[in-house]
Amino acid sequence: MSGDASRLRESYDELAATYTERIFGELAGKPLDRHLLNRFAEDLRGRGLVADLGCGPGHVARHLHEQGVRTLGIDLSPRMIECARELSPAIEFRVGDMRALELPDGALAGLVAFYSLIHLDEAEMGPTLRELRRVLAPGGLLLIAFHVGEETVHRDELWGRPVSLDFRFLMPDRMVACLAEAGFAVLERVEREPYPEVEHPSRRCYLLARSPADQ
Amino acid sequence: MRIERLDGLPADRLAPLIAESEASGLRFVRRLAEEWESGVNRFDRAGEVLLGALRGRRLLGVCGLNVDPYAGEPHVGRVRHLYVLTAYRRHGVGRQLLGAVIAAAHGRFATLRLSTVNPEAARLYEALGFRRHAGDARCTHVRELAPVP
Repeated sequence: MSGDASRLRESYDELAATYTERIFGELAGKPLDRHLLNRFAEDLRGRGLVADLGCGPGHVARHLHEQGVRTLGIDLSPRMIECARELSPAIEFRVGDMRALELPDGALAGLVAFYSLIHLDEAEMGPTLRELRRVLAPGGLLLIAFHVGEETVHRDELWGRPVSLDFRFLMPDRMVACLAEAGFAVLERVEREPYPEVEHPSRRCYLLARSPADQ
Repeated sequence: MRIERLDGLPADRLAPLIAESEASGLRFVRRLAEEWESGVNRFDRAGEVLLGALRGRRLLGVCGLNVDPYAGEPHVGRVRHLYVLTAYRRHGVGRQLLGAVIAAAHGRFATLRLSTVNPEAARLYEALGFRRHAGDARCTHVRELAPVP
């Protein structure tokens, strides 16, 4: 984010309609993602509120909701939140910044962040993970997804729209270390090849982590 | 004008593009037609597409997207055979075709490459996010695609 959340917000505001059209149905073509979210939901059902950070049009929040989890979607982009509310009126969606969440300590049973930590710059990763730990209840679960790699792709244009976005690929070992530094215990690490014809051809990593039982 | 995927080769509608491009010494539109006829390249592998700009039944321009045969890996796409009839240039036809090819490449390819010696075409590619790439005749321009998501 390079300290400049407004560029990210404006970029996703600009993309919201096209992004929603292209991405909202994407889980249909991603069986491992569904499987991991279903398992995550199984662990958290009945345990409290689960937030989807960087929820976009809310497809991940919607999937968790359909698995019987009480879900809250949070995104930096007001236009994206409008799209999410329209598509899933039964779910609460709020505009918010994952670096400084407007939630009390220990408010959440779980957190999911699919391809949203990828917009943080290096210096923001540690403080943001500590912020996620703050809002998780003791023993709460965090599930994150990201592209595996070391490159950063910058785009000034996407789908014909003017944007300014940095997509950071992340190394799993480094993310495991960052999570540990922020006080999380990493429980599971899953990697897979990209699904052809469905998504960007990048290798994917999913990490499931737990916040400490006594903080 | 509309941009459409060409699933069959519209030989009759391509003829004016072949004639005009050959008159100015360019072979690649004819090669597109020949390679389609012979089955060498029908833009039918994963992620590939051939797009046409049409007004009514008239084909104004074409642009193709192939798996890059020179890259040696399937996640690199190659923009090929961008041609717009002279009378329709400077009306945004090429820009729309290329924009549609880039949009089609999202979610299929990580990188797009191409080779051009035409300065006018180079300007269009650079306006749509391609950057110059030196030292490789098979690749004068490169563009990364955004990993969403």
